[in-house]
Order: sequence, then structure tokens, then C-alpha cells
Amino acid sequence: MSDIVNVRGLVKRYGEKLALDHFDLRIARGEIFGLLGPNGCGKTTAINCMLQLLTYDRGDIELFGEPMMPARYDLKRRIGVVPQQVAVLDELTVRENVDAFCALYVADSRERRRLVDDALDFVGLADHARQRPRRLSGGLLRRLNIACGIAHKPELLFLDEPTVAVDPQSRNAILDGICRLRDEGATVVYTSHYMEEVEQICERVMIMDAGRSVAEGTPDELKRLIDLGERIVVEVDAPGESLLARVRDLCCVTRASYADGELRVDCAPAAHALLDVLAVLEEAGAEPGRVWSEPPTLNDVFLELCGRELRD
Amino acid sequence: MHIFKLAGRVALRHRGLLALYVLMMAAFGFLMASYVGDDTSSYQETRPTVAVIDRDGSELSGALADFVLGAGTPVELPDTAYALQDAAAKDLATYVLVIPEGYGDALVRAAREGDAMPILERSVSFQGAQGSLMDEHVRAFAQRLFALLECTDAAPSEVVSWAAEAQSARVEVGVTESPTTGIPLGYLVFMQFSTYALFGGTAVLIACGMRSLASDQPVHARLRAAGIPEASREAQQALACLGIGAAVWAAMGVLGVLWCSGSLGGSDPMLIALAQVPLLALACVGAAYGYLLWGLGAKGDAVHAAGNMGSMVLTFLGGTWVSQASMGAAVTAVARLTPIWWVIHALSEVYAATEATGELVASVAAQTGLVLLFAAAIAVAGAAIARARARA
Repeated sequence: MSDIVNVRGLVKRYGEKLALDHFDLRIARGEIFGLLGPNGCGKTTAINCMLQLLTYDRGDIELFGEPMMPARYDLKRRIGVVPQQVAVLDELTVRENVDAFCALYVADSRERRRLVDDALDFVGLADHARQRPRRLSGGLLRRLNIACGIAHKPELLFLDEPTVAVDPQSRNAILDGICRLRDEGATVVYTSHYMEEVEQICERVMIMDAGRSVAEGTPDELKRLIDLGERIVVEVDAPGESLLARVRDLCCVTRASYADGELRVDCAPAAHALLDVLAVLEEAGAEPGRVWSEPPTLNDVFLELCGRELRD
Repeated sequence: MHIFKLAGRVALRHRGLLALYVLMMAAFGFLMASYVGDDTSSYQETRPTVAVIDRDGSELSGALADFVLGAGTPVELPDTAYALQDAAAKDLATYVLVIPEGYGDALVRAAREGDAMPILERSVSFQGAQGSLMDEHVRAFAQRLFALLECTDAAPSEVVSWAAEAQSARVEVGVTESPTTGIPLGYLVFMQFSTYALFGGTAVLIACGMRSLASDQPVHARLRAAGIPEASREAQQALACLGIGAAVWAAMGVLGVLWCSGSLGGSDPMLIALAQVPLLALACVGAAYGYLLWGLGAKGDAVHAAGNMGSMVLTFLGGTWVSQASMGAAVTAVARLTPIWWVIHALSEVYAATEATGELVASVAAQTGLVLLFAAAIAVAGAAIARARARA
């Protein structure tokens, strides 16, 4: 599959601060690519540089196999943007908003009418077409934000945290919609803080930190990067320190802790220690309640790679 | 021209601003025009309400009392401290004269011995200038009595009769025909007041109305990411500002003609049309000012303050509130450096003209050109600031 985005050695400074540090990115046509990272790691800066909304100090950006420049309006017409902040006009109705932003790309009004109808149906806002944005709920507003970015059927779509402050139902609708866009042929660059979303919809993921890529691959590939296997959780009365030590001494266990009535046991990758853990508990006379096992998540990968300390 | 249409549409959706700055200012101009009126064929003399407390009872004090009561409409007031205070507090009389006991003798003695005139007590209304004017007349009459006593050895009764005789010689007051004007005075007043909306209203409508398209707003990123060349986008935004200025100008023009249609009946349509030209130029200055405020990223209260204060200063310098003839040389010199001076000057020429001659058209065009230069200078500054902020 050919690359639709190819970024090489991108460097962007804000004064003394290095926002992007020789950043590289390749995205294949037709995939949903997740861009993850803590606040201020450079995700939005990278997108804005690719869109030529920001100048950069060094590096090459190719979109659709061609060099991207500020005056490449032909390439810009093939791109859709859904910014992090809701970017709609309060003075216009829902339909007028979608039409206004679609008209930036499509001049023919008849064609536009069809595209606007499609976009409103796509995000489920057809019934709210005549309402002003300020009358919409947060979730509907986010959906309008998306409709304004996709109405012209872009080949490449940048979605910058589109589900922030959205209720679970609206979030599911948005994620389903993004998958449908991909199915219709669009390539999607998706940034989010919600790991489960990224895991759910992205074929490939890049984790960024301090302006550079720290890991890239499919969610499964990323999970294999870290030294973490399944996590066994057992509902049990508080075990003594000696029992915890015996669990930790098991050969495949990397960490064991007890909190909130749950014994949590982290295992080494590819190890299966459930039976061993239960045997130790039985020997000690503990009576387990519910027992379950969780595979490592992208969240674990993210915390492992980017650290657990709080960021600004 | 999508950005042009979008910007205009978004700005004109601010119906509250339109109602406030266009409709209400037009209504205010119409009210002022109605107040001034165009009827100059008759006049009515106003008479102040007056009261006299004569504690002297001499011939001289009687003459003063007669003079005051003859010049105004008398009001009865008892000679008590309470009544006098009440009259002053409640403004029961425009002018109250209190002649102290012994005033007549004191006046004769002062005149004959070369001393200063004795003092009269009086109370002047805080409303209007009629009381003060009456006071000036009374002082002049008392001065006349004093001068006659000083220059002659005549008895007070004789002095009183001479003063009364002199007082009876009055200047005839009548109505003279004013020269015929091209447009009615009321319409001129309306146009003067419309300058407030043309400048400040246009500026506020642009800076507030187009706020959501400003460079610090999320929508701006969407516009920049789209496939429209930057120069074209900026030019269309600037054009939209001019379009809004033209829309305000057209609205004020239509409202003015509709509301003043009664007095405009016999006016030359060419002169009415010619008067709109400098006003359109002023709307362009307002549009440029609004574009500057928009480029600066001003919002909300700051925009309203800047628009209204700018309008207040300009309309003051243009003679809307106080006649330019009453202004000092320094104020006039400053006014000449503002576009409003040339607008009002052009309007005055149209007002004074009886027909639209080539000379008049050339003069109005020249002054309109000067006004447009102001607009261009402000717009260039606005464009530079808007571009710099967008790239920051």
C-alpha cells in the first residue's frame, strides 16, 4: 500500500522549546492511524505542520506522494480537518455550518447540497439541521464539528481528539462513523487520550513523547514491546504480607499488590500463572471470590513508555 | 467569493447590533430632525416666571419691581424664609428678586458719594438660561438707575421716569426669510446624526459580527486549512467589511428618505443623492476602523467602547452635538485632521446649494476623496495587523 503521509526529520521550535524533534511519520493509504502521547508531546503541532498551518524549522512533508507546501491548495482540497476545539459558527444553523465549510472545497451548490445531506446523515444530525449550534448538547456539537470536516469527502482526514467531553453513546457513534469513513476509502489520522478508543479503531499506532516517536506499530506489536503479560485479579480477604511474598516469589510473577479487596498479580509476558496463584492461595487457606485475568492494554503500554508521573 | 459571502452573512446575523446601531440611531436622528423642524416662518417669545419681594417700598425699588414683573410672568411668593427656600428648591419661579430694606436710599447715597452699588439678592433657576438672562437685564436696569443718579442731581422719581422712558425704546424683532436651501434643515440634521451609525455602528458590526472568523478563533484554522489562497481569503474578508459598511449606509439612506419624506418633497433628488456620497465614504472609514479592531482581536466590551467613543469624538468634532462655529480654534484645527470634518463640510455645501452644479459635484467629490484616503490608511494598518496576528 502506498504512503499517503510521509514526514521525515521534522523539527519545530517555539523559541527555546523543541516541540518536534526529528519527527518521522509514514501512514499508508486507507488506514486509521492513531497518534498518542501525553499533553504537550507535539501531536497537534505535528498535525498543524502537516497542514501547513505552522511553519517548521527543518524536515520534509509529503502528502499524497507530493511535497506539501503552504501554497499547495490542490493538496489541501483533498484533506479534511476536525480540530480539537469545536470550530463552528454560532451565527449559522447546523446545516448552514456544514454547507459553509463544505463550500470552501466544493463550489457547485447542487453537489454541495447532496454532500451536506450525506454528512448530516452520517453524523446523525439531520433532525437538528435547522438548529443553532448553541442549542446542541456537547455530543451533538462534536458531531457537527466532525460533519464540517468530512462533508467534502476528503481522502485524508485529521481528527484531533474528536471525542473529548463526549458521552459514551455519542463516542460510540463517532467511532463507528470513523470506521465507516475508512471503509469508504478515507485515510484517518486520529489523536486521542482515550487508549481504548485507539485500540478499538486504529490499525497502527504511534506513541509520541517530547516531540518524537517512542514506539510505533499495531496495538498488539506495541503490547509486545513492554515487559508485561496478563494481570490476574482475585477478590479475596486481605492476605498477610507473607502470603503476598509467596505470590511474588512465583517464577512468572513480576508484581503483586493488594488494594480495595482485590489481589492484583502482574505476570511476565506469555506466562500463564493463574493456576499457580490459586494454588498458593488455597495452601494459605484463603477463600477466593471472583477471579479474572486481564491482558495488557494500550494504556499499560502508554504508561510504561511515557512514565506514570504527572505532566504539565 | 465564498469567504466574502460567509463573512457578510455571519456579521449581518447579529440582528441585535443591527437594531441597536442602525435602527435606533436612525430613529434618534429622526427625532432630532423632528425637534429642529423646518418651519422658520414664525417665532414665539418665551417669558420667564418671576417673583419680587420688595422690602424697601421706595420709588427706586418700585421701579425695579415693575421692570421685573413687566418682563416675565409674575408668581406670588410670601416674604418668608421658608417660602423663598421652597421656591428655590422646587424651582417655582425662574427668577426671584429680593430688594432689601433701604435699598433706594443706599443706591442714591452710593451714586452721589462715589461708592459701589448696593447688592440685590436674587435666586436664579437651575433649569435653563432664562433666569440668568433675566438677571442680566435687571442688573443693567439697576446700573442705568445708578448712572442717572450719579450724573445728575435729579430726584429718584425723575430718574425712574427717565429710565422707564429709555427702557421703552425697544428693538423690533421679526422674522426674516432665510435663503432657500437644497435640502431641508431637518434632513441635514438627520444626516449629521447618521454619521454616528455610519462610523461606530459599522465598526462594531464588523468587529463583533465577524469575530468568529478572527485569527484567534478555532474556525480560522479551518479556513486556513482549506484550499483557498491566503491573499484571496484576506481580500474577501476586507471586501466583506466594505460590504457591511455599504449595507449600513444603504439602510440609513433608505430610512432617512422614508422618515423625512414629508420635508423632502420639494427637494432636488440630485442633491439628496449627492449628499449620500460623502456619507458612503464615511461608512468606508467606519468599515476600515472595524477591520482594524477586528484585526487587533478586540472583542465584546472593548469593541463597543472603541466604536462608541470613536463615534462620540467624531460626531462632536463634526458639529453634531455642538455647532462647529461655537468651537475654539484648537478644536477646529483637530477636527480638520479627521474625516468627519470633510463629510460635514461636503454636506453643508449640498445643504446651501440650490441645484447640483458641476462645481458642487467636483467639490463634494474632492472632499469625498479625502475621506476615502482616511479609510485607505486605516484599512492598510488593519490588514497589516490582521496578517501579523494570523501568522503569530
